[in-house]
Amino acid sequence: MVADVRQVLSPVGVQKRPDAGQGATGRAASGKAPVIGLLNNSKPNVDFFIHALKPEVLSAFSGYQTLELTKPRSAGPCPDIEALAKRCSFVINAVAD
Amino acid sequence: MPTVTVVTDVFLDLCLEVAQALGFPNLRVVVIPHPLGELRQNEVERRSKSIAPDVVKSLRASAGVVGSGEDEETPGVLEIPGGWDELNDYFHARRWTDGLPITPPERHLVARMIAAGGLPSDALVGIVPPRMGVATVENVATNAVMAGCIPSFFPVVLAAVKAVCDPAFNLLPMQATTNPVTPMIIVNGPIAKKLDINAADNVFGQGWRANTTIGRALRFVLMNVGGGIPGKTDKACHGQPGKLTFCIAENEDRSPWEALHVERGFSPGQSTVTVMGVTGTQDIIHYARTSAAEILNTLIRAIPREGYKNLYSGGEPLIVFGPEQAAVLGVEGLTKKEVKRIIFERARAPLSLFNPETIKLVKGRRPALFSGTDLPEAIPIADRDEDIQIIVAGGAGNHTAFLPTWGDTQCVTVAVE
Repeated sequence: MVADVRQVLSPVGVQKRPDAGQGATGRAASGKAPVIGLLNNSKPNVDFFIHALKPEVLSAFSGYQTLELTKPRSAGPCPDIEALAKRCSFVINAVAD
Repeated sequence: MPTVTVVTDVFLDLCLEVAQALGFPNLRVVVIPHPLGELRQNEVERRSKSIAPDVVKSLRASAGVVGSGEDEETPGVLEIPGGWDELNDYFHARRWTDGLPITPPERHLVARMIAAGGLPSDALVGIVPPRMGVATVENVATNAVMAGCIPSFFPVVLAAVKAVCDPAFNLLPMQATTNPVTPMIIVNGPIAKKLDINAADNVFGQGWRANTTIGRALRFVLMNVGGGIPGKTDKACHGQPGKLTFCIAENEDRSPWEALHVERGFSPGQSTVTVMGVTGTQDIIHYARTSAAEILNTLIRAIPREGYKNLYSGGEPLIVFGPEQAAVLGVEGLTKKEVKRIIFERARAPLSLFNPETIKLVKGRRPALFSGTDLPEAIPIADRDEDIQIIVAGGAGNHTAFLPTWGDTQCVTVAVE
């Protein structure tokens, strides 16, 4: 006996293609002294976490400076992301908790 | 710019999902055990130092490749063997439902739903995070069928999806947060009565097809198109019943004030949907409170509780006066603006409730409260009086409902087309 087959539409749909230019390019900031950005997402304890991480990272990247930024709100984008991208060779950030 | 992202293990799925959706499939991630926020300082520092070598290694690794931009494969049409039970099992297994049975989204049902919207099936409604799913009229209709909507409800569903996708609503973190926040739909204008969207008895509860299915359809879009899957990308700790469905109409007939949509710039005869990110409902009962002052005093003493997100993040808390309470305020000549001002000025939590770390967090999120030379004595539930939202809804009884909101979102109002 042939089983019934129901044809239905998927509720999922497609994903939006990321905009052109998004994604890591591997380009380091040029010209200025190398900088590692440390972006605090303003969740509890992240400040202690970053301050403990900073000397460890700097000991591996001699000659680098750090730039620390704190997002005013956890649940929102970093308002200074362009400045961060222009000044930093690398950025260390956090997601969620 | 090469980036290393540090994430606690329970949020790794969310991190990777959003990274992929935003075009960073090769995001460098370093994982640490959860939680971090509740640890003592020395343990935080120990954990930080323990992953430093991984962070350094990731920074030194070659840069990630730009995402290919290819859409993930998602079949548009599904052929499912078996009957209604097997189909529901199929949808449940893929976490495309809320736990209740769905109406199978067969072509003819979806086509009928699309027709009620008056737009082409491929018209864009919005981009739904965290998956950055493309909400089209067709897939919103598909989810509306699943939710049990009848076609006449569809324009309201479309407006609700459009509203939550507005950047001001801040849906991406809302979909992911540990907070129980959910979009609440408030319908105003003639369409509320036309579609029998309940504004009165048991307004937050069960019993009305429009309320239940419209709210459910929105949640399905957030889950299925947006990818907000509980436990995976939706990290709500407890969630709330409103995440199943939360749609009401304002009881405009019983309000002494202008309706919400009129307050927000629409004409009374226009039908609208307003979405608000609410974190729960608190009943406030007014025993023997027969004056405006007594009603407001009860409210003012009840609502500024430590633990409400509005105290930490500001935002737009919502007060839903039952019609009887609203009538007392209206008879005494209080305008909505005056009620907001009174609540703003007097519904405050003493700063002494909070420890120094929490004060630091509040200061970061609500800097305007700390602009003076001295610390404020008390914290209001919103940053400005006009941020407090007030509507009238409900049936008989001496009740007001306070709905704290998430704080990191703004309510959005959209016309129903």
